[in-house]
Amino acid sequence: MSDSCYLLEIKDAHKEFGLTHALQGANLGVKRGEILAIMGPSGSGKSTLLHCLAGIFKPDRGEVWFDGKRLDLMNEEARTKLRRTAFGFVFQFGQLVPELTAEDNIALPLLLNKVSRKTAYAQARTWFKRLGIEDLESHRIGEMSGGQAQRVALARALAIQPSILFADEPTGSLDSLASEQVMELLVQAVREQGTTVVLVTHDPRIAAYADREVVVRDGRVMTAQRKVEVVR
Amino acid sequence: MSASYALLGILGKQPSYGYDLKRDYDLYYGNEKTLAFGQVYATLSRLLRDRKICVAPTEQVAGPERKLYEITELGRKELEAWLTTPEKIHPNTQTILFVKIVTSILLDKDPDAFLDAQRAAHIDRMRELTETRRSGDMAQSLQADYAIFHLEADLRWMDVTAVRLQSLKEEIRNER
Amino acid sequence: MYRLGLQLALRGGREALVRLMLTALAVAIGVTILLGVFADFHAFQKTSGRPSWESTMGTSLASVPGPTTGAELWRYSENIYKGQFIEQLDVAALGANAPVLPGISRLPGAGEFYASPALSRLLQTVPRDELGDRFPGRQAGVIGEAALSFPSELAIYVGRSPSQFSGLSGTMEVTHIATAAQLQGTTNIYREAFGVAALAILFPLLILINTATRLAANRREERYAAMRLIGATPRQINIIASADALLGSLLGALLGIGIFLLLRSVIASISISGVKFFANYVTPTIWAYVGVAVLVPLIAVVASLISLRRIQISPLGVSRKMTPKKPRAWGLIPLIAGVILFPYGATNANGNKGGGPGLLFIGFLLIMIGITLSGSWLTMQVTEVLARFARSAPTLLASRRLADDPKRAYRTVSGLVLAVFIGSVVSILVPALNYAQNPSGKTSLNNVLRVPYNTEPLSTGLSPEASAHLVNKLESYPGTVVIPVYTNPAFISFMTAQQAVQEGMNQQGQVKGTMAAPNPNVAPPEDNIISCASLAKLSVLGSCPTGAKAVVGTFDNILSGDNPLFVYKSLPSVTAQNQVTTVDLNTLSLAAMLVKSNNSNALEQIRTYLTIYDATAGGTQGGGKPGNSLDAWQMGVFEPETIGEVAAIRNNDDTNVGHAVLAVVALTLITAGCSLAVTVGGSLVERKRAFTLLRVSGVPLTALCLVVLLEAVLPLIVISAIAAGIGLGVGIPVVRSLVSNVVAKDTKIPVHPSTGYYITLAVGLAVALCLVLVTLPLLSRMTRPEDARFE
Repeated sequence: MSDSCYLLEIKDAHKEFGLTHALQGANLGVKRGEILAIMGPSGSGKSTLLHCLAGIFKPDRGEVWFDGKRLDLMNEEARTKLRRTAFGFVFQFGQLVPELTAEDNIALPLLLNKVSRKTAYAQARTWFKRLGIEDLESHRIGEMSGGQAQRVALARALAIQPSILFADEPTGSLDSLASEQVMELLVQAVREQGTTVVLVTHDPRIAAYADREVVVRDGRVMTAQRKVEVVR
Repeated sequence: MSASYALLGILGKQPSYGYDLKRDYDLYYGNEKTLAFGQVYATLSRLLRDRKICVAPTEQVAGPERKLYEITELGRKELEAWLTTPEKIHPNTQTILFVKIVTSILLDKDPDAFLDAQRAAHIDRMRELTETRRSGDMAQSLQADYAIFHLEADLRWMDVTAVRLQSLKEEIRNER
Repeated sequence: MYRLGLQLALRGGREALVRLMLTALAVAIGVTILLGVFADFHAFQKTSGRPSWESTMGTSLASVPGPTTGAELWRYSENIYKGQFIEQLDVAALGANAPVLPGISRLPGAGEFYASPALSRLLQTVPRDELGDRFPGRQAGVIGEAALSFPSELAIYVGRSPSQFSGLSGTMEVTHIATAAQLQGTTNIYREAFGVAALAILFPLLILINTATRLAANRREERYAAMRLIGATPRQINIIASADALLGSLLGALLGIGIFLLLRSVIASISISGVKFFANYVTPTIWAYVGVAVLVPLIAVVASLISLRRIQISPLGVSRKMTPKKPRAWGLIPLIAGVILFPYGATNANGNKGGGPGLLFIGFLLIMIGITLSGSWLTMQVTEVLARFARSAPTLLASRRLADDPKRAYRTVSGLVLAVFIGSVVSILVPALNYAQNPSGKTSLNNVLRVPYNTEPLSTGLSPEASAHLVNKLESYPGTVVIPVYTNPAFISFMTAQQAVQEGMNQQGQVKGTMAAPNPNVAPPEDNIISCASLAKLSVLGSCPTGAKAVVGTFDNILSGDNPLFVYKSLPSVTAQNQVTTVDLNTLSLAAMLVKSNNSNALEQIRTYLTIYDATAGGTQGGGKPGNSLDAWQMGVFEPETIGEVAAIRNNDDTNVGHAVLAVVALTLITAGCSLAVTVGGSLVERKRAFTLLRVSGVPLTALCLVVLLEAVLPLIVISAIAAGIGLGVGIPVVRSLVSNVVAKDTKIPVHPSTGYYITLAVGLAVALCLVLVTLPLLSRMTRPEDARFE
């Protein structure tokens, strides 16, 4: 059984790729509505952890719970559908289709979920004002700045009103100012919708936007001890 | 403050004479400033008074009186507590952190644990500052930014140090 | 440097290997098709270039010469068996060293014959009284390939003694057998058609090779830019790129040669133009193999070098691609001009208004140019409309990608445009032409055999006794009806008198002596007399005036016309206007017979009987007595044919052309499919990350497969539809006008493409689709979400 306060939980997950042990008994719980940062050095297994949490693949051992259901026991089709309807994804780059305009990109997941074309585009258009990218509706990705493109990606992820937003280094290829703007908008938007966020980053300034952070090292999740300092 | 813990740390490894203490301190920490003899003895007095160290019985040898100092149980506990408690953020954080790292190596403890805790404290602080920056006025935001960047620098240094710990260990062992 | 290039090509990881395999495979298919075309062309050349013994010229004779060395007697005739022609050569050596016919080692002696392999088989399986009895003697051997044009050709050399030629018309003395190739008008047309077909296939093949070698060019170009950064010179890059292109295309060429060798026998047994070629002729010859192995890699290397120059690799990376320029609508101008000119020229081609045929040709050319130039613009329009109204995600993705770069979308399928256009036009013309020559429903005369007896001018035909006997004999066959057509004596006497007057005129055309000048106002009597009772047996010929027993009439068209169109136009031959005659039919000579039989075996038996019956000059087989040897129907130069067979001959050529064109259309569709598959594969490599991340975000694999399919299939179908539409659109008015000039006013002309056309299009498109489907598993493997790199 899972703790009811956790929307997403992974218990004692192990994953091997050939000779590499990417996860060696990882445990993590994500509370409903919180913004959680997952930090850690390269090769620590944080990507693999994200994959398992998002149902992209199943761990070799262990359990993954989402909203009271076992995610790792679902078949590929069910997990794909879940990723399409309950999860949103923002990556560092490369996720938007270059031939499509900005509003096409945002409407895409809605269309896939059988929303009518008219409704999908109407919903898509509401995001432009919200994220400060008005007038970019019919622009293509190659015609906008990196920050604007990431905002379109964010809109695409949030357009389906997911339960959880998975963001992997969302500002990784942006400069400081653009990073700030994107993170600001992200936090604002998810607070409005009550979306839970799992944010993978190595940048502490980005992690600072989260409510809580955990560190992944050697395939395990560390929650740091915070002792109260003895006042002198 | 850090000097007393530094000395306590060196004593934590093994008891030592006052003269040796100063020499060791300079060896490990003396790059920027060496410790004056006066300060050594003043610190030692304080530590004695607080019962963190005591004088070990020695046999009298010909020559000036030399006292052998050793750490007490209390002192060890305090040292432990100090090591594992994250520092509040202030301009001298790096110095203190360095002392902590060296000390923990001397004591054959794993520095990773407290580094993690320190990182967490830093990020907590950064979190507060981020909130401030979002909700405060321009002056507050600028100050908050400044602090955040410095915190980030600390964190970067801690990351790099964690990687370099291995070679640091070797160096300290060899110096001993 | 070459080694480095090869290493990069081979060791670039699995992705590079996959790319290499795809390239090689695509090139291989193209090469196989190309070799097939060359092989067929070579067979055609060899066949049409064979010594045409049929066109040997000899000297015609009045009487059989005595023994002569180095000479022989020839009589060439044609026989028919169930619609198939049999070439028959009766030959008799006049002395020693008579020239030997091709395909045999010695001349057949009297009582022997040599038959072609196909005819030999027939002779063994068909009852003698239907075929074998026509050829006297026993089979001495088989005629070799050198004398034949195709494996199923029916030909026979019948050995005779010289005296048997006595009195036979058409005999000639031959001292030297022709070795030159036969120059028929149709041969040249076929050669030109082959050339056009080869070009039509070559165009998409070149595109295929080019597309294949440029597979995933973007990634390679990034690699080259990186190499420039570390100091490689442009020349070194060129070498590396060439090595890459060379490897893939050479592998492909060799693979294609291998596949072709495996399939050669299959290709040889396919008949495209209606006749098969000899299997051992169907080979592209060593030159083609060598040429392909050398030229294809050469073209690939040149293409890749040219494209490199276009991109201009600089150390700072390949210049960032913005949305490419949109195609312009210039191409519409020649297209519209051609669409107007072509039908206009066609309608005036028959009339005498100036420049008809020239306009037609120019119009055709303009259309072809117009389609090629405006293809990408048309693609853009269609895909943009699609994108605007796309309801589902895959349609949106596919149509946007196509609309984004319509030139790229069009380029791969441009090769098939011309073929489909020409194919559509032809496929409308051919059935209409066939119809025009044999309007459907008019098959009433199909089984009517016409047997003429008055081959010589002024001859009366078969004697009354012989004809009575013959008619009875023929009517004894099952299902047979005989309509005798008698010679009108009045006609003969009129012509004889006129002949005498002609001979009596002097050089200036004045009448000599006391002969009366011919009266130009008197119409000559009609040729024939027919009994009304017989006429009633074939009512389509017409009906007598009431109460008549026999009428006088002319039956030229039915008896000898070779265009069924005019044959049917001349019906009815007998109406109430015909002059009635009361002459006793038993006294008349037989000018000809119309023999109708619904039993095809009986028909052949009749033909065989007629052949033998008359071959015995002066013979009394069965009791009939032919008239004087000059009048008798001898082994004629042409065999009695049914009117249906006459029509079929005319149809054959047109249908063959139609089939050949459809074959070309099918091949180009398949080639375009290959190009598409290759382009799809390349685009997958370019979009690997975007697609993978889409799958991570929950886009199902089936949706992505659909996107890829649509991107390939949409241009294919759109372009095919446009080309076909234009072809049919200009073909229909052309056909209407051409054919209406030829058929009667009230006939309804069917104006629609043959079923073969629809089948060809469907099959070609289906195969192209399948080729694209082959790339889908690749998509699945390349975009696995588990492989998405997040760092």
